[in-house]
Order: sequence, then C-alpha cells, then structure tokens
Amino acid sequence: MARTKRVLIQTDFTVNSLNIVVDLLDRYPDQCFEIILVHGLQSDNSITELLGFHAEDHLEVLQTEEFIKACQLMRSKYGERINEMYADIITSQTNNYFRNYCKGSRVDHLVIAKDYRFESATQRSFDLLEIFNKNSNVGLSAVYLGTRLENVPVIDKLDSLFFRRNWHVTF
Amino acid sequence: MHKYNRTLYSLITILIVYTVSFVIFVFYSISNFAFTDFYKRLDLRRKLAAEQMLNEDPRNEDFKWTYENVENLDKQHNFIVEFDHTHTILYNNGLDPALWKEISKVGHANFKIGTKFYSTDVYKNDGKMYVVGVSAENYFYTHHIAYLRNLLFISVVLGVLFVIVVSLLVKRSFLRPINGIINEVEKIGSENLFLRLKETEDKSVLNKLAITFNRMLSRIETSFETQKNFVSNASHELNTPLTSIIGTADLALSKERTVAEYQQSLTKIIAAADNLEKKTNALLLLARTGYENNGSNFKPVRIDQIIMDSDLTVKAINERFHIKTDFTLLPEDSMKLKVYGSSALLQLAFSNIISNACKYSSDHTAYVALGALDNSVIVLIKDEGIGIPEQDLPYIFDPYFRASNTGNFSGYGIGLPLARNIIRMHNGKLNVSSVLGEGTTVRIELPTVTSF
Repeated sequence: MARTKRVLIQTDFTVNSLNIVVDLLDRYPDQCFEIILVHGLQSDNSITELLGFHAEDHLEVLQTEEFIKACQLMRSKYGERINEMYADIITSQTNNYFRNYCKGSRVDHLVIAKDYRFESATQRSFDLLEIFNKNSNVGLSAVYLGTRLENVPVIDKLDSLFFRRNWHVTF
Repeated sequence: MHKYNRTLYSLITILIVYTVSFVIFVFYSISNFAFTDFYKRLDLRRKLAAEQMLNEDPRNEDFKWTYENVENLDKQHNFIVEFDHTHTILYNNGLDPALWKEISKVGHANFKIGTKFYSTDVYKNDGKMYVVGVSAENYFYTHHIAYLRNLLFISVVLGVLFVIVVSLLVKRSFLRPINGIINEVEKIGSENLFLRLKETEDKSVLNKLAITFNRMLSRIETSFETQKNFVSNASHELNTPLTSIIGTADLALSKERTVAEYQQSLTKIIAAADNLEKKTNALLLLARTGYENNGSNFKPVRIDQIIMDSDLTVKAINERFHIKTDFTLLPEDSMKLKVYGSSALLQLAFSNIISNACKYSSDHTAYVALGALDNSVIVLIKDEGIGIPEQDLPYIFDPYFRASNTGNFSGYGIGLPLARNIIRMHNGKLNVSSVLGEGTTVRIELPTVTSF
C-alpha cells in the first residue's frame, strides 16, 4: 500500500460536505489518508481573541452531533484507511498564512470538490476555495473531484451520506 | 406492612426501655453518691467533735461545741453520751434519749432517721466509754435530689414522646414513596400498559425498584403488543389471498366448465393458498417472540443479518413491497455491527418500520441504510411516502394513534409503539423525522457490544 497521504479538505460542518471524503476514499482504494477538515473562520482582531484563541473552543460549537456521527460512520467504514481525521480552523485568508499552515501540518494535497457549494456555518466563515485554487499551482497539488450529488430530499441530515449513489441493492 | 409495623414498635419499645433504665441508673448513682459523700463529711465532723471532746471536758460548765472548724452542715448537731457496760446513759450532752437504742455501742455506725443523717462512734478515754456523734440534714438529698427526680421524670416523658413522634414521622416518610409506587402501580392495567412509574436520577433502592417495574412493564407491553400486532397484521394480510381463493372457487363453480378451466382455477387457488401459507408463516415467525422471548436473555446479534431477515419477512407478508438496502457504509470490522439483543424482537421492530415505510408510500418502496458509529449502529429507514403532519409527530408513539392523513390506509396504530418499545428495551434510540408529502425517515441507534 502506498504511503499515507495527508490531505486538506474544506468543510462547512454539514454532513453534505463530507461526501467528498467518501468520494476520495472510493476513488483511490489503495491509498491510506490522513484527513484534515478545515474551515475558514475570520478571527476578529480583538486582544482577547488574539490572546485566548483556541481552535477547540470554536470547533466544539461548530461541530454538530450529526457531523461527528457522520465522521464516525466514515471511520468505521474505512477502518485503517483513515489513519487520522480531524477538523481544524484557518483564521486568515492571506497566502502566507495558508502556506505556513500547510507546511506546518505537512499537507500533501488539497482536495477540492468541483461542484461543491459553500455554506457559511457562521457569519465569520469564509470560503477557502479561492485560496485553495491559488495555492494549487504553488507546491501543493490539488485533486479535483466531481461529487455525484443526486437530488434526494434531505429530511434527516445523516441521509445525505446514504441514499445518494446508484442503489447497491443487496437482494 | 404488618411486619414492618411490628419491627417499628419493638424498636420504639427498646428505645423507651433503654431511656428509662438509663434514667433510673443515673438517679440511683447520684443519690448513692449523695449518701456516701454526706456520710464522709459527717464522719469528718464527728472526728473533729471527738477531738474537741477529748481535749476539753464536756462536763465542764463552759463546754460548748465549736462548729467553726469546718463549714457547718445544714442543722448540724453534735452530741456526746457517756455510758457504762450495761449501756446505761451516765451523761448525755445533746442526744435525744429516744435515739439511744438506735446507736451502736461497739463501734462506728452511719444511719439515717427521717431526713436526718447520723454518724456515731465509740471512744474510750480513761476507762470511760463515750459515744460521740454528729447529726445533720442532707440539703442536697432533701432539695436537689427532688429537683433531679422531677427533671429526669420530665425528660423521660419528653424523650419517649420524641422517640414516638420521630419514629412515626420516619415511618411515614419511608412509607410515602412506597405508597406512591403502590398507587401508581394500581393504576396500570391491561388497557393502559403504556403508563410507567416515575423515575428519578438518584440511586436509591426505591428508584431501582421503579426502574425494574418499568422494565417489566416494557416487556409485558411488548409481549401484549406483539400479539395485537399479529392479529392486526393477520386480519389485513390474510384477507387478500382468502378473497382471491373464494372468488376463484366461486367463479369456477358458477357453471359447468371444461377440465382445462377447472385446472386453471385450481392452479390459481393453489398459488393463492401458497401465498397465504407464506404470509402465515412470516406472521407467526414475528409473533412467536411474544411467547418465547421476554428480553431477559439477550445475546450478541448482527444487525445487518437482522435487517436482511426483516426484508425477507416483509416481502413474504406482502409481495408488492420493495426494499432497497444501502450497505455502502458498512464498516470493515463486523464487531461494530454486533448488538446485545434478541434477534426475534429486533426483527419484529425492523419489519414493522420497514412495512410501514412501504405501506405509506405510493411506490411501496422503503430505503434502508446501515452504518456504524464509534459505540453504536445506526439504521436509517426512509420512504418517499405521504409523510406525517407536523402536529401529529408528538403522538405517533402513542398506542392506537394514527396520523390524520392515514385514512386511506388500513392499520391499528400498533406497529410503531411496539418498535419503539423494543428499541428501548435494547437501550437504543428511535427518531422519526418527516416532511408532509415528501417522506419519512426513521433513525434507529443501538449501542454495540463493544460499548458495554
């Protein structure tokens, strides 16, 4: 099995945004991954925020129960193929910050969903797509994945992980 | 209850006997102490008097008892008597002659007449014999001991009252929650088995009792519902093939027919009867849980297996129903799909939900998906049917409740409460979310074996 790849995926903490993880793992079935789910969250420039910033505090609020359950679902499904999977927050839209972040986290690839529509989880959230695109030319290779979203009415939020592919009817 | 009262009363009696004997002991010791102490003091004064008597001649005109050496006792009185061998009084200073008989003529004596205490002794001086004595009243004995006696008596009475009142209060506070449980249990009958006792957070024995009662009620209710469910399903599902058999036979007999036509009718009847048999077997398979499994012997079972079995059962009961199963998110590790439970009961629950999903959608199709979380399994059962009106959602688990838009569908409102009870017995969660006209999703979470 090939070396574990560390990838960066944008998330808005909806279950929908995790579909790309499933697509990625299905596309490269022989590859192990370490997945960082990043969310862009503009920090306000107050002193308290600068001194007392903890990603965990924000993540605790942002990660819904459904989101965590969906992550657990994927970890159980792919078992050892997901070495690590965690959510993180990127607080600035500047290029340098982003490049340093990737260097620090030893990111191998950026994974971008082609037809993914970003939904702001909070008022201070921002779309990372632009910065992903910008940096895909500089050192970091980007993997573009087309998600096969079907138009299924979503009632229960966890639905969106299931019930979307061509049906694998067992019998 | 009778035994409980007897224990309580014997406890009260023991407490009272203890208090009374304690008080008697205190009173006895104190008065005993008062006596010995007072005699000691009398002895000391007698010795002082004797010394004075032996130093001064008591027959002297000027002789006077000095009482100043030590603190005088209440009504202290010294006396001296000279006597001979025949115990005849030769000289008396201060003794009431009536008491002469009482006094020991050989040695030391302490005694008490009325409230007066006496201490006497025999002295020999120059061949003469004297009795020197002191008498006094014991102020402590006459005044204080009476006070002490009253005090102890009142405290005994108060103590007994206190013991009785407190024990009755304690008894009542002990019995109140038990009486509460009794009253609540009295209300539960076969017609309202869905009622439950109140459970609290604390870990008291009574709360455990309530929880145990509730578990038992759940088992009984499930058992009842299983049978009701069988009757309800049987009455719906067995009708169709029966009607078809009767109809075909009627038609065949309505006039003289060719052999081929009779054969055709009989083939139809056999097909319908086969169908009937299949349905009956499936229904009996579901119903047998109510008789043989009461949830007390749970074993590790695989949820995916149960879902596949449920699919087969639902299809056997109604061949128009379609089930599409999404196993794409099945975990690699099959341990994550193992749940402590009764496979028969879980199968009953899932078949009910799946057949509901099929029944209430126009395409008779249910979508079932399965996945594993860290400590639980999640099962989603979805349909694109009529949905449940929002105002009806809080009541869908009530027995016999049917949503307002189910008029065209037959049913008794038994399946979902039964499924919920079964899931509850397995410590699981059952959520229903629905959009009217678009569909319903039932989400079931069951804790896996690894989480125990």
